[in-house]
Amino acid sequence: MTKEGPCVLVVEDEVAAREVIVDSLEAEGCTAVGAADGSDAIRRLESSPERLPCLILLDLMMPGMNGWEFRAWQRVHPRYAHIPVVVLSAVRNVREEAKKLEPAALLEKPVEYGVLLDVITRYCGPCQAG
Amino acid sequence: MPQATDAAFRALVESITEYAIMVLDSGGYVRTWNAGLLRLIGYEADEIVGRHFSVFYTPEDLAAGRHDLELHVAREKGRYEDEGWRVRKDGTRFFANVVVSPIRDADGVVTGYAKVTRDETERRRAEEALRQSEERFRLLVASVRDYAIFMLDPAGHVASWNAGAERIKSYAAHEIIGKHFSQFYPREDIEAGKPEMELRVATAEGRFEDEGWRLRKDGTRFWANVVLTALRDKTGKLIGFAKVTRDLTSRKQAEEARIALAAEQAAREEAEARARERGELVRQLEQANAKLEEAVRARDDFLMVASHELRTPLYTLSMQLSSGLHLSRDVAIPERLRARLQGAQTSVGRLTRLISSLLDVSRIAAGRLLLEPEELDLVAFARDLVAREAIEIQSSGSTVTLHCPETLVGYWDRLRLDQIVTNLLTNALKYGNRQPVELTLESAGDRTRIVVRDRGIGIDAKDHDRIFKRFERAVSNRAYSGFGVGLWIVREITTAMGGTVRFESEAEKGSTFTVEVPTRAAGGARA
Repeated sequence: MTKEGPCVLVVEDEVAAREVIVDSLEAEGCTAVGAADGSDAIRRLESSPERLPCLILLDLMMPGMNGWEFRAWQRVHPRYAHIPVVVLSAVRNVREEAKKLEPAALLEKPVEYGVLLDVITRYCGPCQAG
Repeated sequence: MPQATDAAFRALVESITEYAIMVLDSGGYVRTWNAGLLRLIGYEADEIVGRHFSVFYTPEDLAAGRHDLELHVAREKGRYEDEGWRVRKDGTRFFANVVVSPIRDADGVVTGYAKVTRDETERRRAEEALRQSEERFRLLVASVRDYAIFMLDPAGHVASWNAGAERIKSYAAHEIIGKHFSQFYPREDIEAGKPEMELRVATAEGRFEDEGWRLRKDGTRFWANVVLTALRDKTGKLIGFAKVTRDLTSRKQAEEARIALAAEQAAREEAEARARERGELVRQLEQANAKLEEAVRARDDFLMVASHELRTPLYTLSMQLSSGLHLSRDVAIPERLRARLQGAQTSVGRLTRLISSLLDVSRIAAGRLLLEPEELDLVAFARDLVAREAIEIQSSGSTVTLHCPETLVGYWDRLRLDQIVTNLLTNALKYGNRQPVELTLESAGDRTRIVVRDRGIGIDAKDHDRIFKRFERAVSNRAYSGFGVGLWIVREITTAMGGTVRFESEAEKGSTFTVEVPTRAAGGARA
């Protein structure tokens, strides 16, 4: 993990998907941390409160604590509420529901890698800082 | 008269037993006797000679002075004849024919009477019996109410009438006697000469029987059984006809009702049998239908689950390729490897679309098509879409020309609109036979029109009904890949948006698909 780049928290239950995102972001010079579901994400946030991510990539449909539940938790915790969330979902029918989460952006799977990078750059600045 | 002859004559008279013959004196006293007097009236000579002839009379006749009338009339008129009841010696009565003639002397003075009495009791009884029999018969005929029994003269005029005739035909006797019997026949029978024919047959064969419609006085019809019998006198001369008519209307009606009932019953049974058969068919159909529905549901469920499951690794694969290409953008790798990666990405994109279309099919089939309209510029949208499909377009060998205004802003579900245009475009490219494809966007009132035109193989007229169906393709050629759901999805989405889709096509000339959707599509703004 480089200390300089923006930190992105990737909440995604599908291991391979999570890994390719985390690894690609790392390769771009970002720091990225993966979480398997909502409660895993909370654990990671609370374990390093001094270094909060500048963006959370959030899948919605997950076993364990799902995306909605995580977002609900996040919004009532002022310490984390300000962190922008980009929702990433394959399920079209939950689009309306997803909008209620007031995400910074709503991306539909499969995401063009360039598009994903653009969104991250928009909220975190360029990955290759310094 | 000589004495001898006189005695012989006296003996003759006395021996006659068939007649009571006697001589009365002018006062009415019996003077002579014969054997007939004994046999018929019961008196021996010594019992009656010298007695007054009034002993032969009944008390009522005596009271009425009839015996005086006897001698008086004989004296005045020269002869008296009478028939009436008389009394025998033993008091019994007999019916007598009495002839009394006066006996005059040379001066014409009545000196006595010759009285001849015959016993007519038997004849009288026979006559009476006959009379009573005839009377009874007349009364019988007259009082029969169930049969019209009447007489016709030889020409067919009504000569008698009974109660039954009056009841059945509703004419009173005075209204019909003397009228021709053809009056009882319907016009068509009269025109056919039926009444005359009946008389002819009865005359020739003695009898004619018929069943048919006859008329009552009020013109209503009744179903009659008619027997016509020729009547002849002892010499064989025709004196008329006896006609017996029965009203069988109720029997006829009952018969017809029975026939109708039987027909109805048969029809009902047949209908019931048919209904049972139909019911059985319907039941079988329903069963088959339920099985089919179940199978279709199972298939749609499977499609949904399968496409969901297939997508997850596919999205990861897509991301991996996309990321890999991005990462290698500034790195020197063999061009061939880059081309493979790009090819893989194109294939993944196609696979993703195919799987998405399957998912759409299952969603639409399950009625889970949701529209999320947003404001967008169709022109910019179409340019992006055509740019996105560049590789697809290039590989098809066609070109896509866009005809459109500067902007065309409306309110639509972006992804659904994308599916409509992409499917139509993909279709045009697939069947476009490498000829140019035109995409035209235009405003039409409160609607927006999207027209995709190709100059390819077109669609045969016989296939026009099929192309919007699920899993149907006009072309079975293996050279054209796909599930055959594209146009079905187009139509389903267009319909859901409140729009229409139509096409014109001719084999080998190409096809033109026209979609019209409300510019502010159904689904509306959502909170």
